[in-house]
Amino acid sequence: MQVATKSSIQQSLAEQLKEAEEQYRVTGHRYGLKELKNKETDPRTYESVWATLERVCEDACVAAVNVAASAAIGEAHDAVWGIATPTGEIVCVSTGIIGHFALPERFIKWMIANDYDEEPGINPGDIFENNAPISSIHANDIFDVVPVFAEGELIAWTFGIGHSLDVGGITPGSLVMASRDLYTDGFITVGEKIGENDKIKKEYVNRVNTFTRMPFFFLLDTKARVAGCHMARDGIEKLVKRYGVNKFKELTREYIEDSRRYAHGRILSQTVPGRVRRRSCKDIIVEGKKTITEDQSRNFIMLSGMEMTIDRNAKITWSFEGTSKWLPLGVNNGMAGLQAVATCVFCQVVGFEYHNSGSYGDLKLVDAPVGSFANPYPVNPSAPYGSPWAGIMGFMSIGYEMFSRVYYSRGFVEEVMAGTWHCPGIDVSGQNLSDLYVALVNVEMVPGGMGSRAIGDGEDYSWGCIYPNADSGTAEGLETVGPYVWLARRLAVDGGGKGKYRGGLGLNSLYMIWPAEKAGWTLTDTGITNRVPHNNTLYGAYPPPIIKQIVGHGKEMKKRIDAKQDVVLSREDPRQPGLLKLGEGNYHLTESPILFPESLERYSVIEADHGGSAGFGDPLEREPALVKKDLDHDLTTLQTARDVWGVEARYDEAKKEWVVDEAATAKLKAALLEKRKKRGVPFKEWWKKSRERVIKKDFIEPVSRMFKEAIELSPAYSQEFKEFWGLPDNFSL
Amino acid sequence: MSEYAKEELALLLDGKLAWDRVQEIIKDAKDSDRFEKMVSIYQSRAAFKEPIIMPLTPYLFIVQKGKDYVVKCKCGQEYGDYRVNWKLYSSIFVRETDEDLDSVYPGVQKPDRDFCQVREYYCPGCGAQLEVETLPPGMPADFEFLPDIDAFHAEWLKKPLKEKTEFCDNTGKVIAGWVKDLASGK
Repeated sequence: MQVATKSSIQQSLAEQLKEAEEQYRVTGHRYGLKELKNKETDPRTYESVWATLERVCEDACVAAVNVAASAAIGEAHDAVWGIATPTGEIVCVSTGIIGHFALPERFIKWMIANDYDEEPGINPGDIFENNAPISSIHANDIFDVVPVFAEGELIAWTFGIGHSLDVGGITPGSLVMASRDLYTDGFITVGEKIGENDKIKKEYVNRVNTFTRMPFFFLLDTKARVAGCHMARDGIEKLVKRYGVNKFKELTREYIEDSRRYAHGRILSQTVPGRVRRRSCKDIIVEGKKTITEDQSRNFIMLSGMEMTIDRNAKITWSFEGTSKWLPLGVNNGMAGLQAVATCVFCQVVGFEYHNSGSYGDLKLVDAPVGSFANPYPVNPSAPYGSPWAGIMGFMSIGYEMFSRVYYSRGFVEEVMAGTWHCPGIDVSGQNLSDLYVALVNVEMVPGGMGSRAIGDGEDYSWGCIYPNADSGTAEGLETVGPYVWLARRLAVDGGGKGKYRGGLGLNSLYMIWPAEKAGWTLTDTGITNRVPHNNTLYGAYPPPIIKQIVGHGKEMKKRIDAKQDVVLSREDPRQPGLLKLGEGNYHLTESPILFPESLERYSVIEADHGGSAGFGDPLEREPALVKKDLDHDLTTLQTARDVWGVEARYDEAKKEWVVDEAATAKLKAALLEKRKKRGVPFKEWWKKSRERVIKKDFIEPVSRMFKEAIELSPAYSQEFKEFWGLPDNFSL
Repeated sequence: MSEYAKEELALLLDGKLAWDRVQEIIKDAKDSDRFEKMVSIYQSRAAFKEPIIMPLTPYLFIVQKGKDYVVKCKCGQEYGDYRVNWKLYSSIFVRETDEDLDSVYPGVQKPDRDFCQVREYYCPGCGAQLEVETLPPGMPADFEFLPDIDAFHAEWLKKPLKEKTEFCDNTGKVIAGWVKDLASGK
């Protein structure tokens, strides 16, 4: 650990940041770097130092996840470590969760804006922590940053982010949705100096021990994040010793400008300029359910508005006009959430050479309407954010779809990916095998179904929009930690968007409460919908379906166990879910959310429907051979094959496979096409009829409220809405 | 820089190329003449003769018709100015009955009609299903993609269009005309 001198911050961080922003504004190059001097004159050192930085980050990550206690970090790798410049731009990161890697930049810039170099001071050995909406997506995603000094100067930061399983919110677990405000979201640090001289402060430990349900886990997670930061700091110090401070600073800046150029080049060579626009909705059904305050006890519809423009200079702007008002439930996200969306989408569909702050090219992220669920904090500083993936996943899917449309138009069909999964957050709390009280979220949701390609079906599982990892830990590993076990897991029948190519199906899992005698479960949100499917799809495919969780009651399951009857009641057909076999009164269907823990006795089974992804193209164009393949693997049903894809088939008992009846299929497809021609009405007729309905305000209250609030928050959306329906400026809902 | 034969790109487009080869294409540096080659494939398969300026979807293309740029389906059906949402000239079907909803979202997948309309947009010419929306009633139809074809051809491809065209959304103008028609009882 280097020692700082009083003159270590000769040019204040605020001055450095102002200079960097001005250089970018004036030249269009990060730090004004019109040339990449080191890359051009000494490529060997350039690549060698980059490889070392990657190794430094990865070593920190590998070691730290083994220190952490939370299964989300240890098993599911919901964590990331990295290095930032003094002014916060990310230089290099480990593997881990993609969605968070860019967010320390917001935290560091916030500290600079709040004069942290003056008070509380930034000194060698300090540890700063944040999980407030300044930079964090929700309270469970906790950030620690550590300054790195050399020759008395602050030359970098290292950071570590990890998901702790419980932060003492009003309900146990990882996705607190019942919260009415930040005060009920749990243990929150707001850019706090939690350690000095490389040691975590005692008062922080005391506070964690007092205010969280699983302090042992929480504190080990903190130690893991900080240990990773210190390992990365050691690595930087060694590099600086070898190459000198100036070379280190030059190189770190060049990596960022280099990435910007790479992303810019991809946009210019693979997309087309123009405007892509999408609106998508999701419902939240709370009416009649137990809540903290009365204003929570209503049904809501969240409207996500998103628009991407690519200008003639290949500069991208994302805006969010139309996004509806913040909710009195833990589903809001600040701009940090939208930054996470950009990070994931650019990382996965634009790509990168050096993964850092330059990887979004010249993206301009316009603030979402002030007061919307995506930017509530300017008007409501205490908007709850316990389960923010509720809204984030809608934007995420649209992001993939938007890029897919411009790739398709440019001819790069192999780069198309229609969207991403949406799934439930199932938090179960109770005693585990070691008789420890634990709250465990269903981390297996993260690697889910991938959006369809333009040239084939989406991957059915093991695709994570927020992780590069293909899995989120083993069920066996998670069973040693949690209060439940897996009875079974299968691909969701017809779980993806149905099209010429279908979206990835996602998983259905059966969780049985065991060994816990009693467990509490909440059903929260990473994009789940109950009544309106996300409006995310490409070119004639149906958006992926809504998601339905079912609970089989413990007493009935125990009877089946004792009678040695089948307990693996999987969903073989969405028309007849397996748990319905328990008989009326022995199961119940649910709608999201369940805000407060519902008590489940031992042997109860939760059928977790994890949701699939968007599809591509007119379903009638699907090759019968692909339908047969799905039938053979029990991934669709004959009824769906007929109704959606127009494919007629029969099961050959002798061969144990499905056989397509080609003549009958051709006839059925022709009949379905003819049916479309007959039932389709000219758009103008539909518009006239629908306009009358809009003028009469003939909607259920949540729909009216959604429009009213979105129109009030966003003048641009107000104009679009009124222009489309030909309504006067003074029209209101 | 990679370069691919048109025949291979046609296989790629049709989903017939071996997956190993697709992966190579994904990983390799991109080919600079992709746009022109893909347009040529689309052109050879279209039922119209007007030159394709840009593909919008597997069915819809912006084509040059005289001095104008209009949207056409590959069957030849015309949708008018590319700067107007083509949906205004499509035919639409909204799934509203239980039976209609159940056939595409069966059983526990079925949405709630009060919260959601399943809107299917068809080509009036060939019946192709061009887009589907699942949105609450009252939501304007999405105008998913409005390209700046002038900037693209002139500045990105360095092959300016024969006729310059302004990048703007003209959908509102058409609707304003419809409102006038309503007022005059047409």
